[in-house]
Amino acid sequence: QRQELFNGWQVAGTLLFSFYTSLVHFFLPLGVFHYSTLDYQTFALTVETAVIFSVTAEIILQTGFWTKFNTASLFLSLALYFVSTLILHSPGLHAAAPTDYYFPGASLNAFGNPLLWLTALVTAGTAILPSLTARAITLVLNPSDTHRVHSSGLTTLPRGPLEMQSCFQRGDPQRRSSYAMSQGQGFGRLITSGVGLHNTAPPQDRRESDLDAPHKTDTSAPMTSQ
Amino acid sequence: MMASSYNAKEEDGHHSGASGPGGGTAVKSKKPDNTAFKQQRLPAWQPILTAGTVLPAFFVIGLIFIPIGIGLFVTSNNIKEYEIDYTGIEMSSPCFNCSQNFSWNSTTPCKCSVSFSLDQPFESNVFMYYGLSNFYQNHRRYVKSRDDSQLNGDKASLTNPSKECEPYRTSDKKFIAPCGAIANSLFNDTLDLFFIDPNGTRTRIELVKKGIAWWTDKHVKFRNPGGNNLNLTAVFIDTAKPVNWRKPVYELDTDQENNGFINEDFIVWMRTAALPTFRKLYRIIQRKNSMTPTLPRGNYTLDITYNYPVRSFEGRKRMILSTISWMGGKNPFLGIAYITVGSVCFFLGVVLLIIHHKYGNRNNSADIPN
Repeated sequence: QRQELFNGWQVAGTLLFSFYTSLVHFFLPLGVFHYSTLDYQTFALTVETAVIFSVTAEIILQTGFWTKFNTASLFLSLALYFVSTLILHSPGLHAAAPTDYYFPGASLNAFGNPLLWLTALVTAGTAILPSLTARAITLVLNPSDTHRVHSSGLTTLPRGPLEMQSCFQRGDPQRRSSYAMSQGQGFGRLITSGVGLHNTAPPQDRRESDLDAPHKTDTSAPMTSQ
Repeated sequence: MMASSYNAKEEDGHHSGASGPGGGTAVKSKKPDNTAFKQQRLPAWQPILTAGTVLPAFFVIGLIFIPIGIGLFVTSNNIKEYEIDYTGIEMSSPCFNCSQNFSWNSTTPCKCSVSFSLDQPFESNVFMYYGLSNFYQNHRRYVKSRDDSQLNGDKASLTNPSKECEPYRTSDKKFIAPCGAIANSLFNDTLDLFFIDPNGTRTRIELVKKGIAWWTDKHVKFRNPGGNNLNLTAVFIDTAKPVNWRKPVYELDTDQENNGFINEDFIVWMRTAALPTFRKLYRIIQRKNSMTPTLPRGNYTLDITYNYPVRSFEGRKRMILSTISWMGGKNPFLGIAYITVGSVCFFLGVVLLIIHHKYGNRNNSADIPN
């Protein structure tokens, strides 16, 4: 309701950023190719590779949680791009349908040329510079307090912004997401039985980021199935 | 800490079984499995970004790009290049007569000579390019005006080329081979290079015409029809030559390996350029040995057979001699681009560092005392 994700400023900023990215992706390779003897198909391949690199870099910047699926899909997408380019530019397909696949040999020749890689690298670097700067500025002006010193145990640390740390712990056998809890009886039993009330000490660096769920404490009584 | 590790799946099943109305154990539970993937509990690495980790990234990028840019710029500056514009628009130019008197039907070709001198010797292989300006080989209608199956040696397409070639598809009721506007506008100037000794003798410099096209183009994309039949005149018997050509396609070269569609000059021309000002490889001057420079210092003459008209579209023609390096010809733009981006990045890093010191610490210090 506060229009945080889609408002006028956001749209304008996104438009401006995409306009800048398109200009960069065209004019930087244009400047490089002005002085070279490379042809039209190599130019197309250079811009394609630069675009793939920029988009991959943006995805890397936006990914907050790196599971193995994220990493695998990233490498898979890059690999698929190169493999499919080589397949589409193969002589075999050209022999089958010359008017449709008229890029035979273009990728082999182009990928062997260091000019393509250097141009793609500098174009991708230039294109992600605004988004990288924007992230860095928000980070510098609103620093997250995650690396501040937390005293452990029952010292008198005030509750509040100090404890906003992700508690995505690994290997926790009792960890259950709120979705999973809602599939069963839910939290009603836990709340009414007063399990959480016995423990008033601040939890050790663990707190649910979801404010609706009650605290999972580590000194609570074992959850019994009633 | 939990003393007993319970089986979560079992507990769910127990709950749903107890609360179900009929207690039907045959009812299959629709709940998703309690696996790590489906319950979104996958182990993940979450990089915690702070100013201390992000700011060095800017400096690192800057420090990587700037040396690369300097290296590229220095490499590019070490490449020697010499360019001659021989369009002949100015009255003082040696090719002025040829550029004014052009007509398609002239039988005697017009010749002109341009003299120049090289101040520095050119070492190693020297590449000779011809360059055109204001010639839009990347115009869409022009790029589509070709028949790739005909150029691939398909017999059916030889006598029935594609409609994309119009209006350069037929001439005198016969089909044109090779058809299309790209083939029709083949660059047909001949350039010859001579070295003038100090005592006046002209030595012709040997220009190699093989190896200028891509290997895949010459051996895969472009094939003569009729397979290995060396009598190309018979193969192309029912076709006409392109309108603007002086000789038909089977007379492009006496060497049969370079004749017909697989002529390397033709292949190089058919590989359309990206920009309106372009250069294409014409010949290669191979180095003799490591002691003598390929093109020593001195006076040279370029003999031109001026066939190609560029006045109608205000284009210009050039001849370029260039040594090459691992990154191709002279390309100052790439080095400058890297240096610029690297320094912009470095500058942004410095600015962010200043902002961080001024404003970031203010935020931090407000919270600690209570």
